[in-house]
Parts: sequence; C-alpha cells; structure tokens
Amino acid sequence: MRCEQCGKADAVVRITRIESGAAPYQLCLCQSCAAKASPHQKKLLEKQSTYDVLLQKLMKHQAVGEFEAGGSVAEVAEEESPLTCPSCGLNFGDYQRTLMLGCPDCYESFSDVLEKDLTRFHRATRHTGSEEHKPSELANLQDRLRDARSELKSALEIEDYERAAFLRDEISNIESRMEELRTGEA
Amino acid sequence: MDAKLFDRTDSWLKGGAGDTGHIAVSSRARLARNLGGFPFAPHAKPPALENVEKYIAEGIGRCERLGAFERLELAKLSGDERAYLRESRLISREMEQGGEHRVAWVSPEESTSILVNEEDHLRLQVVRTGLGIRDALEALKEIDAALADVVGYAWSERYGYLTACPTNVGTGFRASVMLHLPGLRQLKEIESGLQGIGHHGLTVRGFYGENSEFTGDFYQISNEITLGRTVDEIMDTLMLVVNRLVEKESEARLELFRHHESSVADAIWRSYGTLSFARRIGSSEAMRLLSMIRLGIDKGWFGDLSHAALNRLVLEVQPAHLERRRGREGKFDSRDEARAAFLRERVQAANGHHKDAAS
Ligand SMILES: [Zn+2]
Ligand SMILES: [Zn+2]
Repeated sequence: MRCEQCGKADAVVRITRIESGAAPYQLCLCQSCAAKASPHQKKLLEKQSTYDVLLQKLMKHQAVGEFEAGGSVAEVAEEESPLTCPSCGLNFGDYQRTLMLGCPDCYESFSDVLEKDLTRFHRATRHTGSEEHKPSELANLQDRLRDARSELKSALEIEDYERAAFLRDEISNIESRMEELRTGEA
Repeated sequence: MDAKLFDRTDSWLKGGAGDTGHIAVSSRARLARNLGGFPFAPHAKPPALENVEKYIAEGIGRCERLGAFERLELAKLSGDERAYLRESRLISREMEQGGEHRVAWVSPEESTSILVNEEDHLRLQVVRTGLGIRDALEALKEIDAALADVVGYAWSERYGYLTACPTNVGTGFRASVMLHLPGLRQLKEIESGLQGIGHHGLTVRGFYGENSEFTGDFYQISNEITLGRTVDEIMDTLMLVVNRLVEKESEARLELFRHHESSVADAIWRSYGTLSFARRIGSSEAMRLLSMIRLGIDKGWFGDLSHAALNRLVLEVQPAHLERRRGREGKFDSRDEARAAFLRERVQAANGHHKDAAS
C-alpha cells in the first residue's frame, strides 16, 4: 500500500498518533514520513545509517589492508576481524540487522562502533552506579579464556612455540571446565 | 498447569492503592540480567539455551529466598494459559509466544516473576498496585541480590550489566507506572501533558504495551534510558514526571466536573447503562466504558465499586481471563456475550447509591 502521508512511496510502518480532540488513530507511512512523525522510527533510520557508515569504513579498511598486505586474501580477512566477535563469532552486521548482540564479550569486541548506538539510545556511553559485583566462576573463566586466546595469537606471531603449546593446553583446560559448569556435570 | 496457580495470579491487585489510587493504576519494576560465560539468548542455539536454563534452575534450587517460586515451562502451557499469565502481568508478551527452554519462575503472592531465556537470560519483575513502584523496586533488589549470589551476572566496569540488546545495558532497569488519564484526555490536554516526556529519557505506551493504543485512557510511563544514570536517578526522574501528571490529571478532573458536569455525568451514566444492560461487549468497548465508570467512582456514584475493584474488572474482562470463566460456566456462545453478562452482574451488584448523582 501507499504511504498515507505523501502518497508516493510504499508504506512500510504503521504508527499510532495521539492528538488532542481525537481518538488515537493509525497511519501507514513510508520510511521518511515515519521518521518525521515518530522519534522511534527516526531512531531506527539512524541505526540504518550507522550501518552504511560502517560498511564504508569496512571497504576503506579492506583497501588499505590489501595494499599493505600485498593482496594476500588470508591477511585481508585477518584485517577485517575486528568486525566479528572472537568469543561468539557474531558478525557486526548481524547485530545491525537484529539489534541483538551475541555474547557479553561483544560489548568489548564492537566497543568503538557500539558506543555510537549507546549515545543514541542513552545519551551516554558509560555506566554509573555503585553496585557491588562479584562474578561467577564461569564469568572468571570466560575472562581467562579471552586473555589466553589473545596471548596465544601474539605468541604465534613472534613464533614462541613453547609458550603457544602451553597456552593451547590451558585453553583446552579452561574450555572443558566451562563445559562442566554449563552442563552441570561438574 | 496447576489450576490453583491461576487463582493466585492476580493477588497483586489486593494491595491498597494509596491516595493517588484514583489515577495511578499499577507499577512494575524490571531488571534485565545475563549470565557471564554464556551466549545471549537471541542468537543462541537450543543446546546453549538448555544449558542456561539448567544452570539457572540449579542456582534457584540452592537459593532459600526463592524456595517458594514455581517453575513453569512455557512450552508445556497452552496458548490460553500463557495469555492468562501475560494478562496477569506475570510474563511478558515475548514469553507468551512460548518456545523451547523458556521458563517462568513465579511467586504470585509476591507478584514476582523470573523469566528465563526471554530476550535476556533473566528478566526479574515485580508488579504492585497503585503508585507502588518504590516498593516494587525494593522487592526486586532483594530477588536480584539472591540470584546474583547463585548464578553470577555478565557485567563490565564500563557498561554495567550487559544485555542482549544495548537499549537495556547499564542498569538493566525499567520502571513503569500505569496512569488513568480520562480528565486530561477529555479536556484535550493529553498531548501537552505528555509533551517533553522523551526529553527526560521516558516514553509512553498504551495499556497493552508496545505499539498499543491508549485504550480506556490508560497510559504507561516508563524509562527508556538505562545507561549513564543510577537506578535511583532513573526512579527520581520517573516519579517527578508521574507526580506532575497525577497533579495535572487531578486538576483536569476538578475542572471537568466544575465546568462540564452535565456532559461528563451524561457520558458516565450512559456507560453505566450500557454496562448494566448490553448483551454483547467487545474488549476495547469494555475498556472505554470502564474508564468512564472509573471517573464516576471519584464522585462516589457507584457505591461499593472502588478504584481497586475497577482495576480488577479491567483485568477480568481481558480475553484469556474471560475465556477461563466462560470455560468454567460453559453457558455462553461467544466471548462478547460472556463479557457482557459478567459486567452486568458486577456493575449492577456494586451500585448502591446511584441516586446520589441526581441530588
Ligand atoms: Zn510518505
Ligand atoms: Zn560476542
């Protein structure tokens, strides 16, 4: 159906209006009329544009990566990796589409780009509060796993294979302990 | 599902509504929490969701404070049962959809529920009658502390409580108060009354939550911002705005009866007439009529019918509540007939002093 406001574009959302003197009524609107009519729709649109900015960035990044890496496909992929959460494998594009993150670590993995969204939603990027917080064993293990994985990466880069072997064992120990906790088979 | 549970689900309606009870209908406080070391629910595969559920169930099992909570597997309830729990505000609209490894731990007496594997691993919520939002928050904090001891939350220094959707990150806290604003609506001051609410990081929804219309002049005010402010700051902002709206609505009702009494009284008594005699009433019509009756209660026109009793009526005419009654009585062909019969009975029985209005 056509947008009930401008009559030009296709209607994509239905919004409810309240105006004094009348019962609430519904309007089917196109994207741009909806953005004008409702702050919520505007927010969604802005999110869309964040995604576009990100795509541009990614393409630029990739070009630089190619140049520096002499066109090696594997290394270009490596350069892109900041856009995938190493802990859960979620791609930032999946977040943009669903607005849902994959795991608690995604907040760190995507922090730069995510903070733009946080500013939009909350006009803030940092938590304030005085809650005492004690993490569970599982959360501690998750932190250790993340550290060990990144250390393993650096160890491989400098070809310290002894350290790498040690870390590999440590990672598998942490993983099996986490598995025990998660499935209650401890 | 245990039939007795249904009979207890609406016990939150019993509490005294206080001196703002004619305007503030109910309050709800909610916290979103997730477990460290597990993937968030929306992108998680069924085995991961199962692990989350087992881990939480095991934790709750060890927790004395939560000993009285009943565990309900959403997938094992019928659609009608889930709708009933949603109308009673024990589960969310999202949970009403059901789904594997989704569980609600409920304590109807405390009007408290712990939802597992909704958008977040844990959604804790407490409902109270009237403007009982601070009371709800205190109860909620206690449940939160008890759970934190046994499961361990996903948390970061920078972002606070980590939630699947960044719109809830930080405190994970959402407070909402349902207000009945027929005076402002009839004086056409609703728009100006609600203006600027977004500026405070608050939002307004209808009776049925997101995207719903303002059926029966019910408006839910809640915070949208959860990051960068403490729970107490969020509460203070909400209370500031809610108290101002309560004040404005009080003034609007005075004004309405002072300058437009005959037309308001006419509308209220016509609503009373329809509720007393109609043979079929749909749910949104019922909400509209009950809204007018609720306004008349201020004037003492409807005898035994209190604001609290009317809040209960509003709940009892919702489809799943009515369906359960219809199933028990088994004598009505349609839900709208059952609704009209039920309303006739309640409204006629309650009216003791309607002659007062004519005097
Ligand atoms: Zn348009
Ligand atoms: Zn992640």
